[in-house]
Amino acid sequence: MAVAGNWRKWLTLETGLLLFAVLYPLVPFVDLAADAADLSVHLDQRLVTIFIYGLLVVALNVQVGYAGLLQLGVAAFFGIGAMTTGVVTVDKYPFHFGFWGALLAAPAVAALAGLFIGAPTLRLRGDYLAIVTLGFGEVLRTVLVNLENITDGPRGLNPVAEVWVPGFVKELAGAGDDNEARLLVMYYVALLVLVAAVVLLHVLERTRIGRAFVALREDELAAACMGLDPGRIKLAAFAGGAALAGLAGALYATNLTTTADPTNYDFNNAIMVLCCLILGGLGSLRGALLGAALLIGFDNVLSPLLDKGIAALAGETQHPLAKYSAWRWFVFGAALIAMMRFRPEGLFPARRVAQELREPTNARAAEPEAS
Amino acid sequence: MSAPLLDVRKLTLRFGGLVAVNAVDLQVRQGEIAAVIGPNGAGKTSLFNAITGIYEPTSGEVLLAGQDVRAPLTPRVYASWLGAGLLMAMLAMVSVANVDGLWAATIKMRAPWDFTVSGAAVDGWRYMSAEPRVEPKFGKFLVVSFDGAQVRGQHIVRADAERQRDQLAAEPADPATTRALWFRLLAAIGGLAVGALGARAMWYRNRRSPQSVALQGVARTFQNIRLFHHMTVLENVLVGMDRHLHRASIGRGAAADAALAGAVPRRGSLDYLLPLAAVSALTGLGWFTGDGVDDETAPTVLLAVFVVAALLWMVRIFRNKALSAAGCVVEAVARQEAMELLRFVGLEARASDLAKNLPYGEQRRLEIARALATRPKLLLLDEPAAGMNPAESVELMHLIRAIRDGGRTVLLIEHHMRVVMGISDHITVLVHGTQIAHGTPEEIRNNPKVIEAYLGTEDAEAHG
Repeated sequence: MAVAGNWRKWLTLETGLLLFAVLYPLVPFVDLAADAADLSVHLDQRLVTIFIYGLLVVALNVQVGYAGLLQLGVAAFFGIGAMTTGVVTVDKYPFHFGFWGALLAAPAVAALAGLFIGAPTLRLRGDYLAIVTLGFGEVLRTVLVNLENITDGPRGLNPVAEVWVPGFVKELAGAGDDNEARLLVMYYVALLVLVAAVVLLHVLERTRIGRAFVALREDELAAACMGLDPGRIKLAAFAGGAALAGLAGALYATNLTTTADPTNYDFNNAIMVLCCLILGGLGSLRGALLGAALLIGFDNVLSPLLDKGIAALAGETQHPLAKYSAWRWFVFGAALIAMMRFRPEGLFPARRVAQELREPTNARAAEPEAS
Repeated sequence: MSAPLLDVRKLTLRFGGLVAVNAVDLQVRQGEIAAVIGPNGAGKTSLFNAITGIYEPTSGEVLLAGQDVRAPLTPRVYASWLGAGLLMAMLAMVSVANVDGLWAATIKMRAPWDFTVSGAAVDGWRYMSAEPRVEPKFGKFLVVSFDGAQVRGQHIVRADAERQRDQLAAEPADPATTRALWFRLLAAIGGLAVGALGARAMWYRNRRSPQSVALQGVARTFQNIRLFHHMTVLENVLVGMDRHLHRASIGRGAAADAALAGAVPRRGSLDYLLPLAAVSALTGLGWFTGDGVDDETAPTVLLAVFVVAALLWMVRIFRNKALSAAGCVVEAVARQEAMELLRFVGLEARASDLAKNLPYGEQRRLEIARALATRPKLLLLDEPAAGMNPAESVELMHLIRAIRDGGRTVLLIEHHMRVVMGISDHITVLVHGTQIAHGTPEEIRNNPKVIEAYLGTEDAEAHG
């Protein structure tokens, strides 16, 4: 383990960004610059949202990118994770698992839901699976609104257990500044979970299960003839992706300290996550993270910043079109269209997917014919 | 004499009105090279597809070493159908009875501080059997019927409410309650039927699946090459090895230990973890609880350090086992084995190329390597020499012989007569799905029916 010998190997984009993310809350230079320009952004709080969505995009990548199962219901698993967190931590129910318990329970319940929706849809592919999962997402949202005795309907369950704050952080933050300490810990917990998930999937890509996913996507029949069980592998992808999405949901609810209105877990959200994935590059972890950072960052950081910048320059105005945020969906759509035209494989595509998209060969042979 | 490795009995495969394979009998013994030949459209590939579980034969059986390739109907299978049925019954019953109401009657009914699992179970049973129950309201209690409508009492203390509930439960049930109970029963029966029958249908459908046949030791290649085109050559072989990628596949004993030792460098991160864990345990415990290390917690901290150290020490000793459980070693050993297979078919120099970038002949050999990686007892090759030049087909003949000498049995479909006549122990001839001849290469070469099928009769020639 000659770490010193090949230190150059570690000088990558990923380590740079990780270093930035780790150090940021301690040296909030973007916030300082923004404060100097009289624009108040709390980037570290917005970064938490980006981490959570990053986890969600990575989760979707397991199903759509690796295993090639086009599913549009990722927001449902996100919602199940958030709702589970709510149910097992709020005061009025007798469970009181606390933050760590919720972090285990949410992915478990979401994975069960993934198996439940995955098992009957094993034989569907492509568009048909997309339709079924889309329907599942819509049904789940309606169910969450209507099971008022459990989920408190549109109000959402609250207060969800706050993130666990270790003693030394409390000491460092000093008395009376509990909120600051909580935000800081939330930031690091979200970062840690995201990094752990990415490392796990990075390893997974190179081992048996990752290969099985890709083999299944390439040629299901040939994979089955090699003794791989397509049903089981698809279920594994479904359950694994759902568990990660559930984990993201748990972090989301903890961050907000409420499960919020179930419309947060609707189809728009699922499409947003899919857009992140497609923008970044299907099947590539780096692409998934970049997509989340760009799109969610665009929505969460850039547009408020630009709004405030415009207001600072042009003075306050009531005209609705004088705000950048009025135009952001337009910019978003135009960017996606340009993407599809000039770089359909995404910004950081996985090697394999790029080849599949760029050179449509006759790789996928027809069903075996009788001779 | 033992049963043949592959025994196909009266296998018929019909697609609508077309009979692709008609009552074909085929036997291949351990260690043989057998061939199936016939003009185009004779049903050779359909026969392969029926053997490997891609098609379900219309009639007839396929036996492997005397055993039916279809999964046997064991008590465990029946139990799984019953399990699926019970699960569906429960889901259906709870949905009909209203999940929301059930939650309200069990979890929400009791304040968190006097919640007990047994109490909730009793409440749940009362709810599901549509009995009246007690519900809290504004700190007091009232008695409600199964559908949540208030029936007795109002804002009374719990003991009173429970007494009234018991009185009410003793009275004869009203029609609405009876109806609700019948609905729940009906839902349970329906769920049981749907779940069990559905599981049964799925089981019958997958009884002869390609993967189950492959797991019984049959591997195949395809006429139209079906590699994983965007994976590397090595990865293709590793996918074939998938089922052997667990600890047991490495085996035990000195050879396995040597493989393990060679696969992983001795010095690993665990060596550095030990001091790190000790330090962090010592400082961390005080840190995380927020009250520093004092006289009371110090013994606990020391104990924790000892436990952690002992655990890590054990992990170090059983490192090979721990690592192989984590899959690292298995993966490394599998790579070595995959490279050996590539060397065997002469592709080791192309291990990191994408499969689709290989020339045609090499793709065929890669498909054979991938099939061999499943360690099959029987290897089915579908036109392995198609598109090969004479030199390549001679190489292929050597390869197939080497595979046979390695203890595997080979059944191939082939059009190249030089290959077929050169390596086969016996040959079966199919024409229009029907078997017209069977015998050694010499017998087939001189069989008038075969000559007629391939070349036509002299009469036809004269009139044509």
